[in-house]
Amino acid sequence: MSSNALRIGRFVARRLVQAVPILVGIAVINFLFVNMAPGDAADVLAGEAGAASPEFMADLRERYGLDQPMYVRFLVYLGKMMTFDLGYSFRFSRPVTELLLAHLWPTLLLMVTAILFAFIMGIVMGVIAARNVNRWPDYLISTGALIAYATPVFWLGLMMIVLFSVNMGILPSSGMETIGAGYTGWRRAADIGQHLIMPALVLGMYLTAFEVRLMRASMLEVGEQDFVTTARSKGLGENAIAYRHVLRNAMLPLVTMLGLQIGAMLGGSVLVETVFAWPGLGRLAYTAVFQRDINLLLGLLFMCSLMVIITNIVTEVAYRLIDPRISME
Amino acid sequence: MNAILDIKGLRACLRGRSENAYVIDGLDLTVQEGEVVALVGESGSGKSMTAFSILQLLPPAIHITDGTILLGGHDVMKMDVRTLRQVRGTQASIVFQEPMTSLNPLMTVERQIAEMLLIHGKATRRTAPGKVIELLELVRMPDAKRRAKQYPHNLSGGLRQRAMIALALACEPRLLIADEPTTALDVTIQQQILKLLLDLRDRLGMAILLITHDLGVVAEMADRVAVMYAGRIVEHGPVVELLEAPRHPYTHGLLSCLPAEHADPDERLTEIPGLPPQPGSIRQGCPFAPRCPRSDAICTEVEPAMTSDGASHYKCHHPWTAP
Repeated sequence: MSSNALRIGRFVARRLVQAVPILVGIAVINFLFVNMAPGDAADVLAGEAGAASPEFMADLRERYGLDQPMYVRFLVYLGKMMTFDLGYSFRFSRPVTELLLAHLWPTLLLMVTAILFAFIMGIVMGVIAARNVNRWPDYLISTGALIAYATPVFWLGLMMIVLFSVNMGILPSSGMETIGAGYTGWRRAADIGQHLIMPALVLGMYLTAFEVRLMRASMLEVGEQDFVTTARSKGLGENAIAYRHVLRNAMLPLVTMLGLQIGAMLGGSVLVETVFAWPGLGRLAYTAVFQRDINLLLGLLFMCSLMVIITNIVTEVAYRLIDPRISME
Repeated sequence: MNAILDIKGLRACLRGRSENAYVIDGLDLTVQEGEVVALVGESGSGKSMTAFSILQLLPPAIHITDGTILLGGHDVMKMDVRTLRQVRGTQASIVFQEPMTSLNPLMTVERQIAEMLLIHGKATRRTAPGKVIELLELVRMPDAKRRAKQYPHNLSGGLRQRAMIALALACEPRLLIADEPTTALDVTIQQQILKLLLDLRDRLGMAILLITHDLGVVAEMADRVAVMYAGRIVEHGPVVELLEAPRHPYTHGLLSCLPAEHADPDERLTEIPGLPPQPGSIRQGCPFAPRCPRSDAICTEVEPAMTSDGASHYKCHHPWTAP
């Protein structure tokens, strides 16, 4: 067992080392694209101030290093990144790293909840549908999944607010916790949980529908394979066949798709966080784009690519733990 | 002698097609205790479906309409699910054609065999690993202790088939159904597996129903042979008689397809003209009549009954004569 843990450790370390050039590449592309957009922070600040003299603008640019040529700014940026210094957000007047960390946990909480929901519901519903194929539970689940699959995220979010917050008044419509309530400990966790239900559901809906359909198809496909007939010929009951032999084999494509979909989910979180005023990275990114907060935007992009890379490594490890045919080497 | 397997008048229909699309059509087959019976025929003649029907493992699209299948004296078609599960593995078990796909890729060999022992109460969690090693040694799996801990993908085709045989033998069944057990293996491994099966028969005293299309394998292995065509047995008898003096034109045709021992390598092999009939396409008469060199008017009108002549049994209006 410990040798297995060691193999996983080595695998993760190797993947992390391989991720370094990818991250540098991403940093280069991000920097180029963001700097190609017209206008800089000085323009926005000056615009908001209403009137600014060219001297004030030049002073601002000099203060934030915006008067330097692009390659100098890039090298400075890279050099700072090596020490995990992502610069200073002049809009929020706080270091980018601090801002990112403050907004990271809400987003992680939201995404992990949504993913777990999608994964568990995908397996449970997919298995129920596949085991009752072409009977009413299957029709119910398949139709439900199709509807969920086709529903736009922002519309679903607004409708849920109308129904559960405005009409029924049972769930809070926005934010992550009740402001000014000053809850601590379990009471606070319950409060956050209550705020979490709607955004997590909305964010996970599409992925859930996707995983349900995938799991159903995968169960049916694996159920026709030869080793299932072997299991039946051993005298195993249908439950043991489904849960011991079919389920694990059927989960493999689910894990793969989950890894791929998490990147897309980061995009979805911008929408959901905006609709539900969730104080996460998505909303921060939205603000950063419109305020030309380049340092913050670059930091956000960097953070997202890091999250995608880590998710991929986690998926790969999970895949190798389930399927012995894929080696850790 | 007692019959371990006695199939009478078995008919199985392909669902969703016309009423008469029978893949097995009035099949009678008996296997005595300790006997090796070969079931031969072309692809699509219903051999594998017959094998699957014995343990009620037919795919959902195929269902049995008539007949009885007595396994150890009890009709498997009248069994409830619980009894059927009890019978699978203990009365009869199957070795499948494809060792590559018939083992679960995510479970070790040990777990797959131990699972069989545990559900039939032949071992406890504590004793199962030891029994698995014994079984693997019985089928002469080299390095059995290490192999037991491995996954199917770590094993070659021949070793996987040995694991599959160990699995089939785990609960000491009285009948082993081997559905083309060597078709997917290369020739030298084929020999080893066949030898192993015969050896196990001698040591354990079980009967074997060997399904094959390879007449060489039949000559080597079988005590008795049943020739299958279009879902029914057209001829059966002791192996020597059947191979040396076939009575049914189909058996005769199959045997003439084999290259002669000292044949000219450039000589063209003989073949049976035409293709086997699609299930449901034969409405009356002998199913082999359209391809038969000896057929005449009566063959297309009346299906011949099983005729016995000494040790030979055949369904033909114009059989080859005994020498």
